[in-house]
Amino acid sequence: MVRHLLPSYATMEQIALGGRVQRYLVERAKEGDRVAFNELAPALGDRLYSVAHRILRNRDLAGDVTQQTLVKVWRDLPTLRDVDRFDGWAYRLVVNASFDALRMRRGRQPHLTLLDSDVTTPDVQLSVADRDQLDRGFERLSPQHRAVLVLTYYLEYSAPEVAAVLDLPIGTVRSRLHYAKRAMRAALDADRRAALDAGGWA
Amino acid sequence: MIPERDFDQVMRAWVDDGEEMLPQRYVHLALDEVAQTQQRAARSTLIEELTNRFQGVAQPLAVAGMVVLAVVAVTLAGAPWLIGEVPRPSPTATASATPTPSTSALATAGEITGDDLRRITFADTEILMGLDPVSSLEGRAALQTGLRSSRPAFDPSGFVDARYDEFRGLANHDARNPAVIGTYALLLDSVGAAEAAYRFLVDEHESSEGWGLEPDTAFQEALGDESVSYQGPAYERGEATIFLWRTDRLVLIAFGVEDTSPLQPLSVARRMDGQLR
Repeated sequence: MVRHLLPSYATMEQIALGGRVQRYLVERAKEGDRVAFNELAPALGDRLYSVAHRILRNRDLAGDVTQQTLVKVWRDLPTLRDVDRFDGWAYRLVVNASFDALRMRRGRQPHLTLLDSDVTTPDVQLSVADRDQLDRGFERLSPQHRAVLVLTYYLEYSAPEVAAVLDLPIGTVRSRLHYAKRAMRAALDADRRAALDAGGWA
Repeated sequence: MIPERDFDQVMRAWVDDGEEMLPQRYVHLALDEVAQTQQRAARSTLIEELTNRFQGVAQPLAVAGMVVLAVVAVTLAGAPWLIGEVPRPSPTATASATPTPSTSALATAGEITGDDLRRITFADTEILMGLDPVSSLEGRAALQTGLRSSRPAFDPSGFVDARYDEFRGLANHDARNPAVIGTYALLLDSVGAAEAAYRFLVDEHESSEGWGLEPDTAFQEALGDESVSYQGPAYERGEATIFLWRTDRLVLIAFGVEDTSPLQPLSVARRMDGQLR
């Protein structure tokens, strides 16, 4: 998984090269090579941050979580037996750190701040209202349901891949995805119904 | 209603809409800390990996092993309860959190006394591989386990005794997210009282004033005389997998929360239920 290791215009050859470079750096860092880890950290940090930011919906919290996770990746890397599973392993660490952060934050702050929406997407234009409703629907989900949505839609992981990252049975992943999608869809549909109703009265 | 394909596109667009660059200061802070941090030795990993790898196999094997042992015990000892002599379990009235491996099945649910509850809620250490007992509650103090703190106290008619035990440990390989298993047994003086208590607890799990869970069909597990299972946020401890059932005068719960595999409470529930048959 090198989706975020290289720019979006990277060719297949560059992506393959990126994968080989990452593997080499991971193997070196696993052997205790700090220089290799320093090379690995910026791109890895971006990928972990992207996931943390989407689960947590908060820039500062995601930064803190990613920083902690990078240190944990370094510390625990010798315990990773299969270097080919590095991506899933690292994502698992950042997802778990995000869960911890949400747990600690719960009780101190009733609502997390919504994601700053200053990036537009080329394929589907979302209205501000739709985005707000999705943000609110997401905020109501448990951390576990959020993680399944992010891994599925952002990393485009299949259910078995999500199950491997979260260490869950595939059936549980599917049921969580179903529940989370239903909740998000309900949030969106409620907003659209409200808009229709408002139009009808106008 | 948005068509499924469009909804997936909307979700992708929405989830793509976010930051993808970690601010440099966090990278620098992380690398400063890395410079001061020793890596963990790979040796401890091997043990953890083995634990993880065999966790799924060990539980069924442990159950199978217990069945074999029980058959051998019946063969060698002549199964006294089959000829009318009811085995007396050793009294275990203290709330000590020390595991007591169960070596024999309890007679039948109808013959259970309050002293037997600990043997029911304390699942075998093989089943709870990697988990240690961390807390216990007895008597009426255990009754409120699993209820929302805002709910009225649970005081079932016909109450005899109750027990709750909790186990925690590193069944998964991330030390910061331990697995947690809870076991609960409530003994009433009649089947009718147990049926009423079971219905009350079902309602507590399903009603909007309670945990608002829907019965889960992922596990088609028939436990005891009547049973139900749930998966979802509960007990104010995140995602839970819960098995609730009634056997004769007993109402039982086995659940897993936090980073516990759903199969683990299932194994514990089967083992608890198996003791009573």
